[in-house]
Amino acid sequence: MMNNGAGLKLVAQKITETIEQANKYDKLSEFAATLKNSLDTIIETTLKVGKELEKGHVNLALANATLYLDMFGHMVIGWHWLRMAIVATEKLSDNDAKNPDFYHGKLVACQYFYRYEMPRIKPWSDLIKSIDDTTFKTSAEIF
Amino acid sequence: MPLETISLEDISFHLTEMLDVKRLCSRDRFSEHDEAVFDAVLKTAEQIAGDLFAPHNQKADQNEPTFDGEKVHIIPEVKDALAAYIDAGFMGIQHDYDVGGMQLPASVAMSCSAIFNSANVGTAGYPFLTIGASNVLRTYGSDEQKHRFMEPMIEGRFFGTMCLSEPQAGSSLSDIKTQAVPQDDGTYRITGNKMWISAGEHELSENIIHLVLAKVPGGPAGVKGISLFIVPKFLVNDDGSIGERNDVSLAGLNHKMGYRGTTNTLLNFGENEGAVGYLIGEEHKGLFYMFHMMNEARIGVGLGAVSLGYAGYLYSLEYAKNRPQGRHPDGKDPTSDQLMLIEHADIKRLLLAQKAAVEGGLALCLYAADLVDDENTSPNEKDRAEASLLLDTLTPVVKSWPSEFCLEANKHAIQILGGYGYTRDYPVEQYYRDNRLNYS
Repeated sequence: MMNNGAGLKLVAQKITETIEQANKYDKLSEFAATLKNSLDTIIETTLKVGKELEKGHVNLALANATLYLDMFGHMVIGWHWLRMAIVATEKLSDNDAKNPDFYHGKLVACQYFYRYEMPRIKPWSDLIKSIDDTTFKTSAEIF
Repeated sequence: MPLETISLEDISFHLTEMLDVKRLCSRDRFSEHDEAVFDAVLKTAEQIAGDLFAPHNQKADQNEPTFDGEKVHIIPEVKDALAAYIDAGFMGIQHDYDVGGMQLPASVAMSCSAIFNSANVGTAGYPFLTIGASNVLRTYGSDEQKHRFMEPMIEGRFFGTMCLSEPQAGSSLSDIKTQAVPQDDGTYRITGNKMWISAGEHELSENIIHLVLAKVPGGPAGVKGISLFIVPKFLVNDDGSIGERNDVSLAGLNHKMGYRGTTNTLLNFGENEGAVGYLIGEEHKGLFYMFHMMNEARIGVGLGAVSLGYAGYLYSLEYAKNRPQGRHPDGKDPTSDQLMLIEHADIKRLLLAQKAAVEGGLALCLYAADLVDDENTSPNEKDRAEASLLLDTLTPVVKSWPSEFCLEANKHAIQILGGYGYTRDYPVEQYYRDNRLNYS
């Protein structure tokens, strides 16, 4: 999944807006920081893959495209959890929410996703950035 | 029967608080709607899904459609459910008023789709394909084609299919072999085999409108040589009445892991003189037309995966709240009362993993549906272009992330039910089998 540069830039802009909104709330700053790190890591990884593509190593660069999609997807879902957490925080601070458990549920699930799932982004990105050739070089005969 | 397979509260949270869907009502296309209309549509979907879709979900899975060599036989509950669905206007939920549609926003339409899918994906498959086919005709069909084929689909009298893959060409459409030979009267004769065609044959509607990718002999090689054709099961006369049987036949039904309620077929086109086909748009633009629908198709698939994950999550949640089992690691007295399953940390982990996946997936899918509305109706050209670029960038994730991680959620639902989860008496194994399709 190689987006054109403009697409990634726009998504990055939207994510950054969410990070800035989240930083207004103490309880959300942990998640905002994680999302920012993930975004930076993914941009770096994308540039690295892009460089490999420019060298003409198309099949090698795209060998782990599925993992790139997993990694990118985790960031996008994390972004949406933070969007929901912002709304939930605001609703709970108003004190007039008819169903506070619903909003607490959003905050707990956000925390779960950030502590248990977002950390998977780094190992995926390390592997992809290294332009690993294990799958690319393997021949059918060794199976 | 109350619907227990998805959270209407969560859907409402997205439409109202995250997406502010009522802002769309100030736009021309949606100016006759308001929040009360949206609520009423969702309630209707919930009621039909609960009363007519959910109750036969397991029966349809355990009593698959059969083919006796002439006709496909399907349990009667499917037709009854679809009759109510059609009657309530859901086949035309996003179409224009002047073709019989409800002209509702994509975010509301997709929310309804999630409701029906959570209740019964097998039965919901028929309208999913019909709506997809009618959308292609809406965008690329001629006025005549829209009148003859699309309007009856919106009415629910005709159902539709998408015929892309062949036995030897699945993900590589470049290698399809189905041929379309031009005739003097402007029609074509289609010959070939199409595989994995969902809803390809059944007795649920007066007609089946197949949208078929085929190559005109002499055209460019690869995907550039692909054109798109309307190939109806029965020809349609000028007065709209059903005409002759066309040369397309069912070669066999595939026996799938899940989505068993939706027939999945191998179709033979042109066993005799060739199936009559009508070109949509221009030759060689078939894939372009099909792929224009890809953004919405990807959202549909992602949402299907979310819906199945959601159904499993809610079932396992209810089970965990009511099932007594064991004690905490530090609970040394075997005569003390058992805890409810949900009190164990590891069970809460499995529930949180599901909640994070299905609610996160729902958030992303409805956000994408809202972008479709902006792409189509935002008064500002810049906003329309931005929505379009976001969609192009995000829809691969919208399709793939839920199909992988909401499937994982289904795995956790089975886990929570323990041994019972592994039996066919409980729905969670079927949700897993159904959802495995979306991962492919």
